[in-house]
Amino acid sequence: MQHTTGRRARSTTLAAGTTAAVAALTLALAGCSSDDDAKAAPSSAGSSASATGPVTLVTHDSFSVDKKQLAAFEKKTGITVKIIKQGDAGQLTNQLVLTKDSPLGDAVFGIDNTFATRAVDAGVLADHTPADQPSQAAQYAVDGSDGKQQLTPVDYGDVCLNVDHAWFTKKGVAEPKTLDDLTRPAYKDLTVVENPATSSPGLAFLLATISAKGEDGYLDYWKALKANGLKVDQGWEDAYYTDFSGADGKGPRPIVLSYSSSPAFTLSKDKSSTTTGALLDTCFRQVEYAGVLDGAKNPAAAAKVVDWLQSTEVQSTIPDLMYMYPVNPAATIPTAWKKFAPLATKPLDVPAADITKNREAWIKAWTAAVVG
Amino acid sequence: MVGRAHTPRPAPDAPTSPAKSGLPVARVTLWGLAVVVPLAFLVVFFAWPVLTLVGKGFVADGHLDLGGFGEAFSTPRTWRIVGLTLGQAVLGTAASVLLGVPGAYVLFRCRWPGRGLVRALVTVPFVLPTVVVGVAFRSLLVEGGPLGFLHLDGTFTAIVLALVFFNYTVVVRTVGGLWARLDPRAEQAARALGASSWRAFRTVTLPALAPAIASAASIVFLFCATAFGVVLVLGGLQYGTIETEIWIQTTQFLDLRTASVLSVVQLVVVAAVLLVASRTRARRERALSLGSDRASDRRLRLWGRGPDGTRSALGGDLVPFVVTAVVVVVLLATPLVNLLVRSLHVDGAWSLANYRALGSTGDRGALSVTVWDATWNSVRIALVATAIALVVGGLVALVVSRRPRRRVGRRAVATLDSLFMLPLGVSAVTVGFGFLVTLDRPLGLPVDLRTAGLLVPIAQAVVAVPLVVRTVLPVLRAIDPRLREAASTLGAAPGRVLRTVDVPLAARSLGLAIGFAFAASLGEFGATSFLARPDAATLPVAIFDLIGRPGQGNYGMALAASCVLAALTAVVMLAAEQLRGERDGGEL
Amino acid sequence: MSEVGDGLVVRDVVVRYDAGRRKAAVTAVDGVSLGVARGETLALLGPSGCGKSSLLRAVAGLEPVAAGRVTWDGGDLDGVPVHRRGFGLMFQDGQLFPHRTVAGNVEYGLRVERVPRDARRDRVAELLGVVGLEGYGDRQVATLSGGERQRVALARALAPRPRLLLLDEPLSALDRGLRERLATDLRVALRETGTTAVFVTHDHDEAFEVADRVAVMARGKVLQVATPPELWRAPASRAVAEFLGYQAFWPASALDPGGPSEPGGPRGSRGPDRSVAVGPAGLRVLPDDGAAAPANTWPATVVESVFRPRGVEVTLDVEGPAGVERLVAVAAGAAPEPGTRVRVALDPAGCAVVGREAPARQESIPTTP
Repeated sequence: MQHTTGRRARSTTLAAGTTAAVAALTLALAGCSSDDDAKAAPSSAGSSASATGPVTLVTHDSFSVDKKQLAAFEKKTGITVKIIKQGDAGQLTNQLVLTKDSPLGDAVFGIDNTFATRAVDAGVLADHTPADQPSQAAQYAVDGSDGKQQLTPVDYGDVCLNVDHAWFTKKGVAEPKTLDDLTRPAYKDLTVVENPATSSPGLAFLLATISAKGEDGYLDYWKALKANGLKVDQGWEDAYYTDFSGADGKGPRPIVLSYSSSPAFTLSKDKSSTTTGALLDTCFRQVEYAGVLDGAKNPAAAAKVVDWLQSTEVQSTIPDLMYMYPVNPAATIPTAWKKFAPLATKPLDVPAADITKNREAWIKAWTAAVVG
Repeated sequence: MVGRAHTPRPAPDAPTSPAKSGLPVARVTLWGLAVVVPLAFLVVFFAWPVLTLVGKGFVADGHLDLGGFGEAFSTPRTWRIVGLTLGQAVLGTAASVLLGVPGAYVLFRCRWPGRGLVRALVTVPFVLPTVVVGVAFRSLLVEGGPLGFLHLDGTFTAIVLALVFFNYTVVVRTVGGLWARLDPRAEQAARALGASSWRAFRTVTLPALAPAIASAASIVFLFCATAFGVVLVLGGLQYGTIETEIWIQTTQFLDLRTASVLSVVQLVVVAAVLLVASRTRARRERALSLGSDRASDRRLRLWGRGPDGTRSALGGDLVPFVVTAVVVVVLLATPLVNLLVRSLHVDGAWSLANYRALGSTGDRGALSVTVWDATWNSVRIALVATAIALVVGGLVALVVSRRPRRRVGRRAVATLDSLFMLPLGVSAVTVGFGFLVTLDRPLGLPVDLRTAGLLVPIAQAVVAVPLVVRTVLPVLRAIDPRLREAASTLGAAPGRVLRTVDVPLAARSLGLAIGFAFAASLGEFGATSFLARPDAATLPVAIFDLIGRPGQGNYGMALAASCVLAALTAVVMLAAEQLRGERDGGEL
Repeated sequence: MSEVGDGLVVRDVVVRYDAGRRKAAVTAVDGVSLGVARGETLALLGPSGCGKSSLLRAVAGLEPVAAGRVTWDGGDLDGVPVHRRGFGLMFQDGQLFPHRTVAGNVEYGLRVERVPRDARRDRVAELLGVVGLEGYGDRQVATLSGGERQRVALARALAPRPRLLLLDEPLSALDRGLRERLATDLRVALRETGTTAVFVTHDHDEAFEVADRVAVMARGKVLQVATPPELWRAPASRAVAEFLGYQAFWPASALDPGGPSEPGGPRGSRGPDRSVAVGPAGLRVLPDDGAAAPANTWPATVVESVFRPRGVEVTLDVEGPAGVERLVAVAAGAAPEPGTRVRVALDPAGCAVVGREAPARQESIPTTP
C-alpha cells in the first residue's frame, strides 16, 4: 500500500520535474535577449533620445575589429555593441531583405557594391550621412530613392588576377598583363578563377569582363578562356590555396583570381620583395558599406556606430583586420601595402543598379556558357 | 531449505476505483510528454521555419503561385540536377555501406590491439569542416599533387570518394554498435549446420543486422543527398545538386520561388527515401538475442582452415580485414596524414611554428580570438547541443522503440521516427533562412531568438537528434520486450523498467550517441554558417576565417587548427567508447 | 475448491490480437473461466496456439482483457498495472537480464521492494539453494547453461514471494532428462514455498508431474479442468483425450459387454454416443495360441518392437472395431518379430470412456457478491 503511494508520488514528481525543465528552458531562451529588449525600449522612444544603449551590428563573416578600440568606444559613448555575423556579403544582404519587417539588428556592415542597390531598393536601410564624412569617401556613397545617403562606404579593394612571379621567372615565360593575354596559347592551362555564382571575387571578375567586353562580348571572352584551359573553382580558398602555385598550397597554376592586396602577404623572407603580383588592368573595385537599418530599435546609437567605422582610428586597422583599403584618406596604410599592393588606377566598373538588375541573368548566362 | 513460514508479498490492493480505460494517468502523462517535448522542439526549430520560408516562395502578391513548378521542370538543368543528386547519393550510400559493413565487423566484432584508436580515427573525417576536407582532398588529387596521376580532381568519382570519406564512420558505428551485441550463437549454429562462413553471414547475421544497415543507409543517403560544401569544392557547378542549387538561389539570387520548388523536390525525395527505409526496418524489426559485447567479441583471425587443415583465405577474417585496411589507410588516413604533414611544414621544413601560433590571433589578427579560445567556444556549444540532442533524441528513440498494440499507434510511431530524420534531408540554407523569418517572435513570445547565442547549439542539435535516434534505436528495439515484462512482473514500475533494463542495455549505444552528437556538433559548419551568430568564433569558423585570408601564417594555422579539431574529435570518440553500461549487478 | 474470492478467479475472459493490416482481430482466448485456490498449482495444458500463453499474459496484466474479469481474492484486477499485481512470471527462455550477475537477477524484485541489503543477500542465497545453484551468485548469466538459466529465472521469480507465480512453458526449451529433473525440482520448490502457481505447458506428463489440477485448452476455450487422475480416467471429450495421448476411439457398442476386457466399470456407459478411448498403454499383446478368439480381442500384425524399461512397446496394424489402425501396444514377454500375427486386448486401466462430442466443461465458479 505504502509503496504504491510512493510510486505515484514519484511519477508526479517526475512529471512536475519535466514541466519545470520546459519552463526553465523557456526562461533560459527568454533570458538570452530579454535584457536587450528591456534596455532598448527607452532609447527607441525617439531619435532625440541620447545615443546610448545596446546596438546590434549585423555583419558578414570576415568582419573583424580591434577589441581594445571597441572597448574604448563603448566606454566613451555608453553604447554596447553586439556583433552578429552571418555568411558572406550576398547572404547578409539577402537575409536583411528577408527580415525587413523585423530587422535582425540596428546597424549593418558588409553590404558591397554588387548588392548595394538590392538592399536599398528593398528598403532595408534608413537614411544616414556621417557628419564628417571625407569627400574621398563620399564618392562611393549610395543614396536611397529620396536622394539621401543610405550606405556609408567603409573600405574598398580591387579584385584582380594575381600572378606567381617565381613561376614565370623559372619557366622563362613573360607574365600576362591584360585580360586578352589570358586567351593566348602561351597561357594555356595556367589560370584559375572563382565561380561568380558561389564566390564574391568570382562575381567581381565576371563584372570586370562585362565592363571590359560589353554585354555582347563577355560570353565569347569566357568561351575563349575556357578553350584555353581555364579552371573554375567554387571559392577563393580553393583557388588560392589549392590551385595557385604562388601560395602555401603550391598548386599547379600560376595565375589566380584574388585581390590587389594579396601580394602584400607573399613577401620574400627578407621582406624586400613579394613573390606575387596583381595584374592591375584586370581589376574590379569592391566597396563595402555600413548603414543604419530601417526599423532599428536604437537608430541614434546605430548611426554613431556607423560613424565610428569611418573614423580614422578604425580605418587605420582595416588593412590588417579586413584586408581592404580604408576610405578615409587620413588613415594609415601599412608600408608593405604601399609597396606591394597598389590599387588599380582605372578599375573596371559596372553601375550598381545594373548589377542588381542583371546579376541573375548574367550569372545564369555565364553558367550556361562556361559550366554547361 | 525454506524453513520459514510462507509470507506472500504484501498484496497491493486493487485501486478503489479501477480506471476502465486501463492506463493510469501518470503513465499517459509521461508518455505524452515524451512525445510532445520532442515534437514541439521539431516544430519550432524545424518544421515551422522551413514551411514558412518555402511558403514565401509560393505566395506572390498575396496569392498562391505554383507557376514555379512549371518553370523549374521545363528547364533541363533542373532534371539534370535532380538526377545528379540522386546519382551521387545512391553511389555514395552504396559505397559507404559496402565498405562500412566489413569495417563494422573488423572494428566492432573482432578483438585486436589498437582497435579503439582506429575506431576513433574513422570518426575524424565526419566532423572535419568541408573547407578543410576540400584542402585535404584536393591538395592530394590536384595536378602535381601526390595522387595527381589518378586524374580524379573535379570528377564524379572524387565526390563519391569524399562522400565515403565523410560517411564511412556512420555505417561502421551504427552497424557495429548492433553487431557487437549480437548473440554469436545463431551464426555458430548455422556454421554447425554446415553453412560456409559467407553463407552463415548472408543468411543469419546479415538479416539480423538489416535494421542497423537500413538505419545507417538512410542517414548516409540523407547526408549524401544534402552534401553541399564537398560537392562544390570537389565537383564544381557541373555536378551541382539540389542542395547547392537551393543555396545559390537563396543566398545569391534571393529567388525564393525557384528555391521553394527545389525545396519541395528535396522534401519529396527525402520523404520517399525515409518511407522505403522505414518499411525496410519495419519488415526486419524483431527482437534480437543480444549478449554482452565482451562475450561476443572474438580475436581477429586472418586465416580460415581449409578442409584439409591448411590455411585458407576464405574462412577467416582476411577479406573484411583487407577491405577495411585499404579503406582506413588509403581513403581515410591519407588525406588526414596529408593534412598533418602540411600543418607541420613551414617554408618546406618541418616545424611546430603553426601550432605555436594557435595561441595568437593569426597573421596580423585574422581572428578576433585565439584558436584556443575558439576551441573552448566549440566545446561549450557542443556540450549544450549534445545535451539537447540527447534529451530530444533519447525521448524519440524511447517512444519509437515501443510497439503499440494498435496499428494506428504503430503507424504513428513509425511516422514520428521518420519525422525526426527530416532535418538531415532538408537544406541547411532553408532551415537557416527559415529561422530568420520565424524566430523573431517564436510562438508569439517576445524573444528574438534569431540573434540569441542559444540558437547555434539548437540548430546543431536539430541535426544531431537523428544521429542519436539512429544510434540508440536499433539497440532499444532489439531488447526483447519480454525482458521488460519480466522486470514488470517483478514489481518494477515503468520508470524503473526503463532505468534498470532499457538504459543499461542501451547505455553502450548511448555512449556512442553522445560521442556522435558531440563530434557532429563540434564540426558542424553548414547549418551554423547560415545563422546569424554572435561573434564567438567556433573552431570550424576560426579555421574558415584563417583559410579565407592570404598570408603564410594563416594557411599554416588553419591546417594546424584542423588537426586540433581532428584530435579533439578523436579524443571525444575514444572517451565516449569508455562510457560503458556494463556495470555488474548495479542500477544506473 | 476455490472459496468465495479466495485466490485467482478468471471469469469469461476474452483476449484479442490486432492481426495486422486488413485482417480481422484474432481471438486468442474466448470466454475462459477458471479458479486457482491459494497454494494450488494449476496447469494450462494445450497445443501451441490454443491461447494458454495469452491467458497467462492476460492474468499477468501484459495483455488487455477484451471482456470478462480477472480477480484476486475478490478484488478486480482491471486497471491494475503489471507491476502492482504482485504476480511473478517466468518465461520459456528465462529472459534473464544480461547485464546483471546471477545474484543481480535474483535480487531484482527485492531491490524493487527496497529490501535491506543483508536480508536481500540471505534471500538470494536461500533461493539459489532452493534451485540448486549454491554459490552461483557472482556468475555472469552469459556463462550459464540452459538449465541453469531456467533455475535462475525460477529463483528470480520466487524471490519477491509473489502472490501468484505464472510459468510460461518454463521447461520446454530444455532437453528431456533435464526437463524431467527440473519438473520435479519445480514441484518441490512450489510446494516448499507454498506458492500459488499457474503453469502453461503443452506436455501432459509435465502438467501431471507439477500441477494439482490441469485445465485443458483448445482454440481459446477450456475443455476440462480436473486433477490429473480424474482427467486421465475421465477425459471430458474426445478432443481432450486425443490431446492426452489416447490413440484410438472405438464405439462402446462394438465391445462385447460380457467380455473380460470391458472397460468402464461403474463409470462406463454404453450409450450410443459413447466410445472407448484407447490410451497409450491401453492395449496388451496376447500370445496368439491359435485358439478361438476371446471376446474383445482383435487380430493384429506386428510392425516393429522397441524395448522400453517398463516393457516392450509394439507398433502394430490392428484390425479393430474401427477398421485397420496403426496403434501401439505393450507386450509382457519377449519382443515379437515384425510380421508376426498376434492378438491385442484392451487394458481397462489404460482406457477411458468418452462422449463423442461432449460439450466443453466449465468449472463452476462461485459468484462474487
